[in-house]
Amino acid sequence: MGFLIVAGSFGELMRTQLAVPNNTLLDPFQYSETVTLHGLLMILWVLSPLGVGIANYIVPLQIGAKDLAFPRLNATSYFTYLFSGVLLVGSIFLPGGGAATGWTLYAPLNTIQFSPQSGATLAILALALLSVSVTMSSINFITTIVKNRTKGVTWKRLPIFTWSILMTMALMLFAFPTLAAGALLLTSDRIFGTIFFSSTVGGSILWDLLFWFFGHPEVYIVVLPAIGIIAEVFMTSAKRGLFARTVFLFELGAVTFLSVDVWMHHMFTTGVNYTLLQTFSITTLAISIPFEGVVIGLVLTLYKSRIKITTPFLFCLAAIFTVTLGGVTGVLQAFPVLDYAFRGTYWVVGHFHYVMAGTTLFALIGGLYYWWPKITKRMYNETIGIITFIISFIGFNILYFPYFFMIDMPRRVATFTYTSGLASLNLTATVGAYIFGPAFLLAVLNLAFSLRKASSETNANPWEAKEMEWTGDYSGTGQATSTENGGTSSITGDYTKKSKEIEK
Amino acid sequence: MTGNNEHSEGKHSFMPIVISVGVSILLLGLIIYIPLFVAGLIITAVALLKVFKDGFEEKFSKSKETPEEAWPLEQQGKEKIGVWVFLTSEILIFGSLISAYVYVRLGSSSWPIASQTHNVILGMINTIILLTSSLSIVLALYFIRAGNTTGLKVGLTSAFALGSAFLVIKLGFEWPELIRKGFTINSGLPGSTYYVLTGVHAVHLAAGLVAVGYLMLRAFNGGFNSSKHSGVENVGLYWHFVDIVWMFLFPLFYLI
Repeated sequence: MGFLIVAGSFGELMRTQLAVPNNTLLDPFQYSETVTLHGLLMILWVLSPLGVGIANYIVPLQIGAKDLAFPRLNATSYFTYLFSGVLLVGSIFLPGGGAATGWTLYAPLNTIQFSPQSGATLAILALALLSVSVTMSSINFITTIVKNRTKGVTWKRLPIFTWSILMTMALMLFAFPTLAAGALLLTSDRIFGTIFFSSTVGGSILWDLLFWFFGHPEVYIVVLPAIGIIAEVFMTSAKRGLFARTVFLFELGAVTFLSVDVWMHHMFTTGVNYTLLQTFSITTLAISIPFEGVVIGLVLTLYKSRIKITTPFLFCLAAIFTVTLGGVTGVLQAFPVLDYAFRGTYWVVGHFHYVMAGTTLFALIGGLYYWWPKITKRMYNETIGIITFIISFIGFNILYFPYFFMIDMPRRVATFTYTSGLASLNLTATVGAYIFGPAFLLAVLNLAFSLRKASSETNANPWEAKEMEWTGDYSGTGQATSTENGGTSSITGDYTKKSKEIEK
Repeated sequence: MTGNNEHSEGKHSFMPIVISVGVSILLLGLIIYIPLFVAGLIITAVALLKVFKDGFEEKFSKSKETPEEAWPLEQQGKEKIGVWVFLTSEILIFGSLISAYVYVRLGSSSWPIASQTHNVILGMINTIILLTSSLSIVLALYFIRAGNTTGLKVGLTSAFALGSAFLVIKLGFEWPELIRKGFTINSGLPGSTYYVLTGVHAVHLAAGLVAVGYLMLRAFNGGFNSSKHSGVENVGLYWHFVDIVWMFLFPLFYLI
């Protein structure tokens, strides 16, 4: 959560810079640093850990385990994650500044010749440390889900959210070691003088391959927990099971599987050969099919049902809206021809912010609201929750929708001129950012205040949800088992502590 | 994400925090100040040692777990599953590194002939040493399953000795010889790939030596018997993995 605020501030800083043409608030190098840190922090230190954090509490409950399989490994994973983030943020304070390469850290810009500052090396080491932390976490979760289910929780009855986390963890297990290997080679380039990424044969393409083999699965690592949350919230709001549950899970599995086969679509413009271009264009189109199936399954869950409008539900609905828009604009880029035209423009920025900031962040915030009564036994203020939602949704669209019209504006550039005709669009986006950002503070405050007020106490199942983490009924016989409150009170303490930190 | 899960077991452990701080200092030191690196290394090592010791005691106080659904892996311990999942990630790390090597080698117009650069005889000896060490671990496991603790001790000791011999030959003979020839880490792509890949492998082997050393300590204190020896099996899995990686590295660097 702390990293969310830091990374969000960097985002606001960028928008401020781009509010008016020829702005001089940040010099180009500082702007590049800001872009890099915003990207890295948001994706790797906010979005995926927030999902994992929720999972850390919910998955054991959903499968009736007392805790994760290896509690100490879990703690180590958390603290290495925390300190790797501290290292990354700290890297900008080293003499010479931090990494200023964009979150993709493309070669040869990442080599010692072009980024001589030691902060950049530290940022890469922070990435490596994060990979270690993530790997620990995925070992832990996979083992837990395979091994620690209580009696009655068979694979067939495994809740959707746990399934989505299992798939996320499998992807993490595949993606992050590649990042670690890339970071290792880059570090040895920068410290020991090897020439993996500065030579002509290795160079930028080698880095691209390694990075995007991690990078594209990472998108799904971020999105899959969000899908799981949306499914849970929709089922509870509509008071029915998921539409075509088995098919849905197979589609989710197909997305997981295909997502490691599409990474080269990030490299259409790097001169890879024609066959590869075609192959990856096809796989990219192919992945959109099961993914659309997932979205349709979610929407049909709601079809003709009596929906109880709540804050989590609204956030998840917004996520569905943005994933559709973000997804459609993404599929267009599966065609290499269009990709040539769009690459490096704000169109792309709009696309991935709709998926990342829209879908994932909305769904995760929705999930936080949804499980808040479970975690803290307190209910947040519903009215303020809905107001928060309205503000953030409007702000979000004012912020990112103009990006689709800014096809002429290149990414990662610190300023633009009056004559480009982009001034009004940029100003609109900045206004949107000022609306979008504070909405999150409101959400945090709302949750934090519910902890203070004794009147907000609630019963164990305020949503009347049917899933096992609420009912405690693991055997499917309608009898609640007693494992429910086994090892959870301590975790609540941690969450309380965390939110108190936020209050400060 | 939750730091104090140990509450439920009535135990606190600050070691995860200490390890993380240690590693962070280590990485920071690598960049700005080498003594800081050493300090971080010491903190991490001490914390890990403490964890090993705690783990040692935990083994005895562990309560029986609730009945579980674990199809299809009812028979396997959770540690073993964890090790296998961990090895999957290791495969991907080495997979990426070896792919990077293959990629730059295929892309290069010229590459030095392997047998003229590297000492094939020493490489061959090292290969045999590693294979034998794997055999020792297998025998150690075989003996302890039958309840033979002497066999276990001999097997572990011989694996430890062979692993150390591998490192001595590699770091003490091969690398200095290559460096004398001018084949250094920054002499170009052949050097870069060779030192990084075999270096990472050597680090893994060193970690394996630490683990086997820990097993030896336990074995000589009578910590294993015919019904309790999962540690031997799990460390063995890792040891065989490191061995198999060498089976790939040896032909890739020494023979072709």
